[in-house]
Amino acid sequence: MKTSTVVLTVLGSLWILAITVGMFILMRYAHTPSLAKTSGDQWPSHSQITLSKTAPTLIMFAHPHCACTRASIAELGKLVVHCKIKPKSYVLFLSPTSMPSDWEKTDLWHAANSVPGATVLSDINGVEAQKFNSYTSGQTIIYNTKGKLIFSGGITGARGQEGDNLGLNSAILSLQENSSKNQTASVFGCSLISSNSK
Amino acid sequence: MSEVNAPVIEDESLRSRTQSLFIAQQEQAHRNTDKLFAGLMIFQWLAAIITAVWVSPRAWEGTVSTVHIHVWAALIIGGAITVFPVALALLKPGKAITRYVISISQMLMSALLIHLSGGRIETHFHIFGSLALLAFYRDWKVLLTASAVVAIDHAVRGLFWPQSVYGVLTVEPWRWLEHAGWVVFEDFFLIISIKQSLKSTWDISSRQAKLERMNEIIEAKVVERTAELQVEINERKEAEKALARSNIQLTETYVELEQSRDQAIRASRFKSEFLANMSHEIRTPLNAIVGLSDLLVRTTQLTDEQKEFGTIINDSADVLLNLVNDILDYSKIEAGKLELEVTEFDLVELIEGIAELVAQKARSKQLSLVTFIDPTIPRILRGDPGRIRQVLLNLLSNSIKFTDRGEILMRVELISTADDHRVELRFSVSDTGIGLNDSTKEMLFQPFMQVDASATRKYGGTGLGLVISKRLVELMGGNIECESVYGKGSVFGFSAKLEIGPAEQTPVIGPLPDDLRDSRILVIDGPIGTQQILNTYISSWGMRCGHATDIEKASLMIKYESAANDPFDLVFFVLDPSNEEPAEILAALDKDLSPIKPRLVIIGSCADRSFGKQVMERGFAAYLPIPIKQSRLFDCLIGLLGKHIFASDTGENVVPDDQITLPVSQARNLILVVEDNVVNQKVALLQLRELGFPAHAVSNGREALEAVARTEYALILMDCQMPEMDGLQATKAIRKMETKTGKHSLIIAMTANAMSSDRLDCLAAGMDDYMSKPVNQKKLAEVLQRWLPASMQHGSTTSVADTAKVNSTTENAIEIETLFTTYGDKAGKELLESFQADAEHLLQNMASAVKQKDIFTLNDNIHQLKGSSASVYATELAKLSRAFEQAAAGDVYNWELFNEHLHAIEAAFHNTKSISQKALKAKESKIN
Repeated sequence: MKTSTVVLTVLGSLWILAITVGMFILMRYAHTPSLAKTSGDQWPSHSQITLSKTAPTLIMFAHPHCACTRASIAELGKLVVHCKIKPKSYVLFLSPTSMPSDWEKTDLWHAANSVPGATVLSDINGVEAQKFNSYTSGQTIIYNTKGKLIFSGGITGARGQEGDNLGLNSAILSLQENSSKNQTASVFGCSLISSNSK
Repeated sequence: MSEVNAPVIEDESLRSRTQSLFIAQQEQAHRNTDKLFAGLMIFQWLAAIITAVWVSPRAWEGTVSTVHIHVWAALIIGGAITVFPVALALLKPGKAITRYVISISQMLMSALLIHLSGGRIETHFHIFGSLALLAFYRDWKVLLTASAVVAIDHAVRGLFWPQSVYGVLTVEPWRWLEHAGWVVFEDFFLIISIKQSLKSTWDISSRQAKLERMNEIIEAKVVERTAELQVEINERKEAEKALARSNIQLTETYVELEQSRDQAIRASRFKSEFLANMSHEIRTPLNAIVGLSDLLVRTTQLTDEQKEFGTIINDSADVLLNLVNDILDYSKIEAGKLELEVTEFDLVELIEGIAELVAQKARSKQLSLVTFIDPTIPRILRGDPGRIRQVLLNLLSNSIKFTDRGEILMRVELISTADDHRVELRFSVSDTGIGLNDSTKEMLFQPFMQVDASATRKYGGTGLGLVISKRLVELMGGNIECESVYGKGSVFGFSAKLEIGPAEQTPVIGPLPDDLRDSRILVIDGPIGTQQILNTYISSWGMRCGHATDIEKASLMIKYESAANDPFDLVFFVLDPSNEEPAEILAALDKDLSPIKPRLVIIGSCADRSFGKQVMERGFAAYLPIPIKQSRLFDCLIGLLGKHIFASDTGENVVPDDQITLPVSQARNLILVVEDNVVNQKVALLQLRELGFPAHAVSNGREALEAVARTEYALILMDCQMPEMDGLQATKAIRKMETKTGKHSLIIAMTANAMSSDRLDCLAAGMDDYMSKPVNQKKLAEVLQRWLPASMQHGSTTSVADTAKVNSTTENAIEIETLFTTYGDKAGKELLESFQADAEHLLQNMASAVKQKDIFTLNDNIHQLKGSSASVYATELAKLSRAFEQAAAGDVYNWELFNEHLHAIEAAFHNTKSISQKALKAKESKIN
């Protein structure tokens, strides 16, 4: 075997390996959920958002600049469309006072506005998120009319990936059954709070 | 090529070439596609980076953000995917490893892009597009490699992260096969396309191989043909070089020929000039000889013998002139410039004149020279008598030269008469000389050839005569020939075609008076030729001719015929020239034929010129010298048979030559002789005087101009070669002067330059005619007759001697001595008489013109008087006339003044006339 062939074979193998490792890392990152805490079982009384008495109340917390949240909003749209019981939906975008005004008014804001029945609100300094114990963009919580938490988690299968996933199915299921059973799912998204705040 | 379903090519080399071309095409496609993907991958890499930066530039934690992992993934993983295949595409284009790596990396790039796009289904089309692009390699293995990567990717990701691949949470384990199946589905069509493309490539390669084969064949043909053409070109170049060399040689030869021609032309010109000069130098003294001998014979009181000698001198000078002409002729013949004249001539005179020229020579050799002219030939013919004479003289001269005894016979016979008024004559000269053998005959007509060198020493001559004769005869349309028997004699003859002259001009010998017809003539003895000629002539005139071989037989015949009442009326005894004792013959005749002595004519060519006198003193009827002339013979017959007195004692003067005389002219017929040679000047003046023309003489053209300005001449005889100003220049100057006056003087060239070009030069200079020297009186008279008006030639000779009175006291009114010195006593006297008459007539006209105030007549007569006065050296009259002419030339006509001029002139004329009368009387008394 020629030296050049050997060199090429070695190089080719290393090349394949490097790419495989890289892709693996990338895949792993994509499928690794963010830090998520379960919201309280009962609707926090000090929330500025009013619990609906006629339909479950769904709140998605979103970071206006998180690329992964695009998929979450898209999945929210599917959820709203496909569920027979339409929840009262809110999308709360983090709006730090330290950032320029309208910092939260990104394309995601506009995408959320296009979700049927969804109310898009600015969450000043993430106060509401903290009330619901939500720290990851894309985290979605659903309370029934009685103020009981029936779902908490992400509605995408991986970072920024649309499509059938366990979180979305759980959310739909919890809405359809209007159960009181608390469902949870991994959340894939950016953190709503900085590391220093954690 | 196993992948290609192409027709089998049986030709191994063609198949091999097709395969080579196919592989080359494939390699080229691989290289091109490698380049395509190299660019594409770099583009994809950049697109991935841009997409990542655009879609997910940063990852956030609250208000804090970092670069998103996707950006790093696009940069690093995308770079890893791109760099290696691009490097291979650049470093190893066309290699299989390159395209396989490219196919793998392209699929990996699809995976990366799909991931970066969040697994969007649209991004999956990148895979199908990439497969289509990979099909550009026209290598199904590349597609399979790429498809394998897709399958593995799906299998692995389906196994670990199915949602990232299939978008669902739960999938069957073999779900990847479905995706792989779609890829294979596309691969199927792409591979079909690849197969077709490969087949097309194979076909193209095959065609190209065939085309190359054809090209090779054609190129081989071209090379072969080129080689052939090269050979042809080389041959052509060689031929061109040879042609160029030939051209150079031809050019050199041409130049040499031109030089040779120029040399030949120069040599010919030098030769012609030499001949012309030589001719001129010889002709000048010859002119004096011819002219003076002619004058000697004609104008002086000489005995017959002296006249004969003078005539011989004259004729010999002519012969010498002919010799000069021979040389000139030969030169002209060689140059092809000889031209024959066509003029009327008397054949009898010509032939007998020729015989006369050589008669003396023949007599000196005791040869019998006889001429015979066929009586049926018209006497007046048109042709070139000079050339005929030249040929015959040459032949006669040769015959006399090469004959020691016997007879020379010159005959002219009629060959034929053509419808175009031409006759063909045969001229012959026969002799009884040494003859020629066959070998020497061939040399006869070669230039400068004689029979042998000893002949030249013995007989002289240049050897040119026969050559010239031959050429001349050929020019006359005939041929010269020679018949000869060695030791017995020769006959040279030639034929010539000549025009017949006007019949009315033909002199006629005969007819005989009727009473003389049938007269009987007896010819005794003599050479056969002479007898035959006498017989022919006599018979042609209607007489009867008998012949006796000797005196004894003749005596018997005379007695017998007398007894028969048919006596011989006249007896010719032909004395053999070779007989050394002619006196004894006369004595024998005296004794044996005494009764018929008064009718016995002796014909002989005895060299002793007193022999004729002896004959007459012995009481014979007449003596006819040989050669016998027709006219002499006829006159002799008429004279003796007709009982006329036969006055001549020699017979040679039986028919005297015509004297050419012209009436005495008047002074206005003054002729100017321009001649530098004193002798020739004198000859011309004497000839003119004899012809009755007064003349002035000057020595060159300059003097001629002065004379012409001073005096009006009727005619100018102009020599050409003269010192100071030659005749041509003088003529031109005179013609220039005449452009102002409107007059035209007759100028006749009289030169020793005998070349035809000289004649043209003379005419070109403005001369009216041309005479070559020597000029005899006859020739001069002919020219004067031709050019001068008849009135001048037959002018009045009325005397005016007693019409004038001498009333002038001026003694030098006329330079009488100068007049006589210039013209001589006789001509001067005649001129003076003529002048007196003329002047008187002019004065009468002038008086009439003054009376009638006719200025034109007056001017005309004054002018004439001025000219004629000057010509006779009447200086006073000339001076007054000139003054009168000037006075009359003005714009204002003062008739009283004119009258005074007229009276002065009349007085001067009377004075001049008086002096002239005295002078004339003095001259007459001196002459008497």
